[in-house]
Amino acid sequence: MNNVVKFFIMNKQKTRSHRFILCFFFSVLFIATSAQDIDVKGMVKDIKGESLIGVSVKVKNSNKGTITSVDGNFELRAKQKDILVVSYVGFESQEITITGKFINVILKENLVSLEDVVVIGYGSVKKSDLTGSVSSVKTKDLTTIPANSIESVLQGRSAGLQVTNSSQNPDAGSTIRLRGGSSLLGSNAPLIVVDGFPFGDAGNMKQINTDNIESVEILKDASASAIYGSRGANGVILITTKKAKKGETTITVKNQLTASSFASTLIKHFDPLLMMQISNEGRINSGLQPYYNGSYSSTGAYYPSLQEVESGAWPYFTDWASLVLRPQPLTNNTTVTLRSANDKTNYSLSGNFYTQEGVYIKDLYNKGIISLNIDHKVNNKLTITSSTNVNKNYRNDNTDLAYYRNPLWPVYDEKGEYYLAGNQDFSNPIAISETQLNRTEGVDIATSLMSNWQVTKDLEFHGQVNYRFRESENDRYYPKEYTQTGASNNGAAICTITRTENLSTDAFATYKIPLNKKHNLSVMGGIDYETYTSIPYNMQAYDFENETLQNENMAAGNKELNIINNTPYTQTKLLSYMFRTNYIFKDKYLATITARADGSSKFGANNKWGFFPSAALSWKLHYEDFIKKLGVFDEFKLRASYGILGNQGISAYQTLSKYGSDNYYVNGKWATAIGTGYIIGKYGADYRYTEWGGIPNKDLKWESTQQTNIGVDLAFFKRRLRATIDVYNKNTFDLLRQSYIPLSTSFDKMWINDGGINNKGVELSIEGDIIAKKDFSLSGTFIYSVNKNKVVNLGKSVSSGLQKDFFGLQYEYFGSNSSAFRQDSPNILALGYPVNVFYGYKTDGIVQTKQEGLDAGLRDMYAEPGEIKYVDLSGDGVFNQDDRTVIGDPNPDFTASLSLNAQWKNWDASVFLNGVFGNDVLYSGLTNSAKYTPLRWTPDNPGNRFPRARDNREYYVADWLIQDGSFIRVQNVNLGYTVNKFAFFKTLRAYVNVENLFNFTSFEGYDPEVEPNGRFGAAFPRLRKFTLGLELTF
Amino acid sequence: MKIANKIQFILLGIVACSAFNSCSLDEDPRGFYTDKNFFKTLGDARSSLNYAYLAICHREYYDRMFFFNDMASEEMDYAPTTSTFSILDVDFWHYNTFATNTELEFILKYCYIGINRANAVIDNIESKDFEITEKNHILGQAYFLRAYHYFYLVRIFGLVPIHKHQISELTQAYKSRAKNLDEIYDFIIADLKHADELMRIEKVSGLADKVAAQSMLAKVYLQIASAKESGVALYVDMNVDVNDMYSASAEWAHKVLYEQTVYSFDPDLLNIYDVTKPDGTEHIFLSNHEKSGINDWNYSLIPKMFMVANSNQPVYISRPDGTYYKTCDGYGAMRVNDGFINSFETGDRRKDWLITKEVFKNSNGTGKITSSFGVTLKYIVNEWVGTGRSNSKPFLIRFSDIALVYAEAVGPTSEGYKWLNKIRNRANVADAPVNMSVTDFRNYVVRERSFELSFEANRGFDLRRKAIVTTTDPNAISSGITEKEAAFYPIPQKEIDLNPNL
Repeated sequence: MNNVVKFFIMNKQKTRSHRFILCFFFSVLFIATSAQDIDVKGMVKDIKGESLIGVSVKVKNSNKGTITSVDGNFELRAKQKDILVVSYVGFESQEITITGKFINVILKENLVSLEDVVVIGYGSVKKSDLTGSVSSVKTKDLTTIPANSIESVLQGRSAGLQVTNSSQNPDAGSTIRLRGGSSLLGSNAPLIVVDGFPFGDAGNMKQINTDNIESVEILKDASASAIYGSRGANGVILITTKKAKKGETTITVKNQLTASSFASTLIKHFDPLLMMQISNEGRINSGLQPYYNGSYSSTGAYYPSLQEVESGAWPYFTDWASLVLRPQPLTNNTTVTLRSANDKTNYSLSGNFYTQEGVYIKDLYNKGIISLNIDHKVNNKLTITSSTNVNKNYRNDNTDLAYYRNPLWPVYDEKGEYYLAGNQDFSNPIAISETQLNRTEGVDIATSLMSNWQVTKDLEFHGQVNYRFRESENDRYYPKEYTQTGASNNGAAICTITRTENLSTDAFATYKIPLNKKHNLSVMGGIDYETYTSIPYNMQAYDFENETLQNENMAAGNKELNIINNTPYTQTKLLSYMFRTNYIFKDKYLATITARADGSSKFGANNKWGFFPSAALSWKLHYEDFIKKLGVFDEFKLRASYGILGNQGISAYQTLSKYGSDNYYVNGKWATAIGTGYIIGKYGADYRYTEWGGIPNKDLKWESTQQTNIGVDLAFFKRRLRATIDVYNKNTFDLLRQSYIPLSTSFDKMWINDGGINNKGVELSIEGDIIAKKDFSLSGTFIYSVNKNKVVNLGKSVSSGLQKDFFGLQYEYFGSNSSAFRQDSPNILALGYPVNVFYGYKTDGIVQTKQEGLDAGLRDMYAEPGEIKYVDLSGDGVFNQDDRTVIGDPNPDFTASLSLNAQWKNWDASVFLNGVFGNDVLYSGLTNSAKYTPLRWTPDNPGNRFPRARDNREYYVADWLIQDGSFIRVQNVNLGYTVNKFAFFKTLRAYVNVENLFNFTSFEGYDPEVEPNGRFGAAFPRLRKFTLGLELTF
Repeated sequence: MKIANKIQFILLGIVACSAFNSCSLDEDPRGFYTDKNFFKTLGDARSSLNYAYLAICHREYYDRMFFFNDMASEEMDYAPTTSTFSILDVDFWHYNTFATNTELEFILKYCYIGINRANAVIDNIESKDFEITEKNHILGQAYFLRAYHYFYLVRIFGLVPIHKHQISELTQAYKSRAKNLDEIYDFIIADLKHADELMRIEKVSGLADKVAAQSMLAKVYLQIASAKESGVALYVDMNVDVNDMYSASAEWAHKVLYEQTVYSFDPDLLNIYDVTKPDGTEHIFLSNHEKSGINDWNYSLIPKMFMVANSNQPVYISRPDGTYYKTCDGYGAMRVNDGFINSFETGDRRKDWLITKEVFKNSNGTGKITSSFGVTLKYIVNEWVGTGRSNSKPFLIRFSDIALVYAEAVGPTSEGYKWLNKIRNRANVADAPVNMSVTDFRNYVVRERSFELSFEANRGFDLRRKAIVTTTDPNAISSGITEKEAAFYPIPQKEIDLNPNL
């Protein structure tokens, strides 16, 4: 943002609109020289030693002054003992008494300056003139953290933004929620916009090199996001990429090398005898033959007896984890950037290569990015900008290997072939790694062309065309011997190519209406049109005689079994008109009105268009005399906003009647079958039941979110202490959801607008420059957010198919099934409860006697001693589905983070703590993990926490599997050293960064940072990452 | 300046043009069929008919046919260890749970899926100018299927709403129930007669033809006749004469038995249940499954329902010729009751050859898997994909079924005895006792049907139309339900909640 202001300053003759510059311009004209004046020369630099261009150097109490040139030099005539005022946007001003002919000035950066300009979508404003809730994240502090995408490092950096990094696989994305989820079936991710190009849902922006990102702005309230109308309901993240600074050519080389290791111990079996004993117990307790008795199982696997293992007659005890997992997966991230700028042209060219090893052997992710950004001033009115970002990525996916495989199995059999425990064994991880293929290669090209035309000093036109092309090819081959899919198909080859294109254009004009000095009024109007298309090409071949080529030659499969598919094709179109006006009176009272009209192809003919208005008011109290008198506040700004936002996050073609297609075997061959009704989903245990849709809803319309926000911005102690507090209330209604319709229609569900969700919360962020001396500074940021989520309306409830339980709770299952439980999703949507609460049974320890079990209403084997004692909540004497209730809430009570930054001479250090509090996590691994099965109930050692070992026990979602997921993580610790002007380097910086140094939590699984549905299922511990970084600037 | 302006205008022009020229917000369907681009050719008509047939192939339909007939009778019970409580509720006649029983929701939904797909064929093809004989044959099958599903619905639920047209918008969704059974049966009979007129006799595995329509008419009339005669609720109010109904049933059954030559009595009992012979002469209507199918309605998992489990490994069963037949293991879910096994007469091959308790792990008959329950061998397969995707098909209309319908309709006449004994003799049991009264004879035929059509989704319907549920099924007896309650399952509460007109 500084660059924008600098740009204005640098071009003082050209940018007459800027009041500050205007004043200065006049002041320069009236310079009067006097006889005693001497020539004073000097140079202005920042702390890093970089020359500052366009810095204002004025003689105090006079009209004399100048600005620094391209190389930071200035020259003016002044008297000895005159005081020079050196000021520069974004930096703290300095006053220097002239004592010689040459003056060196080092300016310190002002961390949050009132004059910062923030990008707000289709324009930018001074930070001090913001009326909505917008938070800016400086990426400067984040670049030392190795990351594949920007979102993952935004965790804890902005109040109200919840970032969850639950997967640790290479190229995994993050789950982003701004002020809670507000949509059930639509997207809940904020919109991400890169330099004015709407990219789509936030979560995995790996195509942009994080190092190229200058700033991130987060539009949170309705006033700020309304300019993105139908896509603003979840908030908007605006990304601005770096531009070259005028007058310099720099080459920067950055390298990060990261080594990771598990932050906690891997859970696996250490004692073979104990493992065998538990297994045998489990078999016997369910009335089955024990496996480990020195005989062959029905699948032909030999299970040694305890004696054989004890005596060493069975010699194998394989440490699968050491064979399957990398001890220290490495990540290397290298960026080379060339930036150059002169009066006319400004370009930056950067290349990035990123390679990341997964935790599993052979699991690898590579990407290369080349980006080129050129700004060219055709003349003093017209600027043309072009930017292109080309990303090529590669992933060899070798995940989910069975490192927990039975350690009694060897890797190879006596013939040297992969050992398989019987003919249904498809989990030898070494065999799978060697023979299975799962590779994805992709390209992602995004290019923008924009032009800015300063028609008059008050009128500016902006036009932009963006195009993005993505294609990824996924190749999979399942060998017939070692994989289930391969075995049942005699080898299976699958190739899927997905092509996606976005084309968007926008044009807008900004007009500053010239009024008298007290009034400042500007209006913006524009139009935006976007199309999105995607199509998959899927080829499948089965039954391979020779598997050497895998899927390099799919024609080698059995032709009769080939499958080709190129659906679903999707095309969506969005046409929008937007309008914004900013009015400022006396620089104290501010108002913003924003409106956007969106027409989307996704909706019914009757509801194509949606209108999203918003208004915001702001009052700079610190300019009022009664506040000034207090002498406390350097800033005291009140903000209030209200607006309506939309969400159009459903798939295309939901308002059309859609037929299904299938095959029917007629007269000895497969025949096409097409007709009314198509499959929209699967549900039930193992997803065995089918749901049918295809009945159109011509009235389908936008999901709407009303949001009220009240905020205050405060600054004290010469702005060294700053605080922002926001309170919001977000009501989402007309939820896009699928309502049940009568079964006799033959359709299960249709899309409707029904139901409502409320999110309300408080966000607080406090920033302080605790110590700010020349050689030593210490600053901190504390962020605290509370979001309360509640389902307030699920439509016509019973008549839309909502279930009602014994206690009158109205609910429906929400989210996918969990394989640990043979029932529908453990999460539900229930009236009056937050989204995703856990629904299941209460337990009361373990059944100790058969009578106790029967008294509890349990049946058969479930009443035996050592079984889980479920509570008969309905009190009818029987344990059944009526005993279920809400047993946990995965939504956190609050989140908080603290970052501390210190600088001492050339050293800098930072610590970042991030915490989530009061969320429940469902840990289904308690039922079978090697860490807990040894703690089982036995007659000799009856506990009251874990049930006895028993195979074939069906587990129900119950409170004994739910744990508090609160944690405070020492997320990042960073230490750096910077040298200026070293050898032929302009600067040289080296640093170390530790990610996930320690995590304070009572959660017993590997890590409580899980998806919003609160289900823990991580296969391995969270990684602790050590990064060594080097940055060289030439 | 000039150049700059030109560039500026060109750029603005590009933006403006692209924005305004292509800004239609209409959706063009691509890659899927809709009412706009389908039903254009005879091929489309056939495809839509195939889609209508597929409704029966879904497990939510054919598995439930077994549940409501074989399981909810004295023949079979379900594995008691299941976690699917709703199935056990059906098995044990937990009447109070029926309103929210998901099994009933499935059968209701899938019958209507079949109906809506058949309606789509009828609505869209009737007015089309296609080649007339082919068009009629297709339409006839659609009418047949519609009637088939309504006949199923009326026997399960009694008074259900009648949808006569394809549902293409929600306003059509809220139908009230049929006024009485006459309204439903008139509709079913009209459809079947129409189907009989439109179709030709053409035996194609997986499709129905004229003989199937005639068979259904015989079954429908017998249902009305016997149910009214037995005093079954709602049927007693029907405005029909019982004897007329028996005669009509006999008349249509006669057409099947005597007025065509494509289908006939198969003298070889095992031939009927040979999965490799779907074109056997007994099979008037078979739903079609094929092991190479992709989804669990394209292939069949029926054998898995009945066979004992063996960790997905093949099992072997002994055949009458002393060989061992390799077949896939199962879930051991649907279990033949001892009481039913013991009720067969000695030497009845339908017991000796088609029910077993002896299943072996090895091809030489060793490694016996102890099974506490009987396994039906009517659905065994020798070939399968994976752990048990097979070609096994539910028997929807069998020639012997119609022969017994005929015998029951004509009563203790020589014709009646002839067909009854033909079926008994094939199973190696002696002729039925002579000189039975009409009532005794008809009851005897119904009993015979339970042996002949056991595990073929028949028994539950017979028990209901004869009003003998609460005197036959031990589970029904111990549940304490009344015969009136047993006559119909309640329409699911979910459906009533969703449709205020019910």
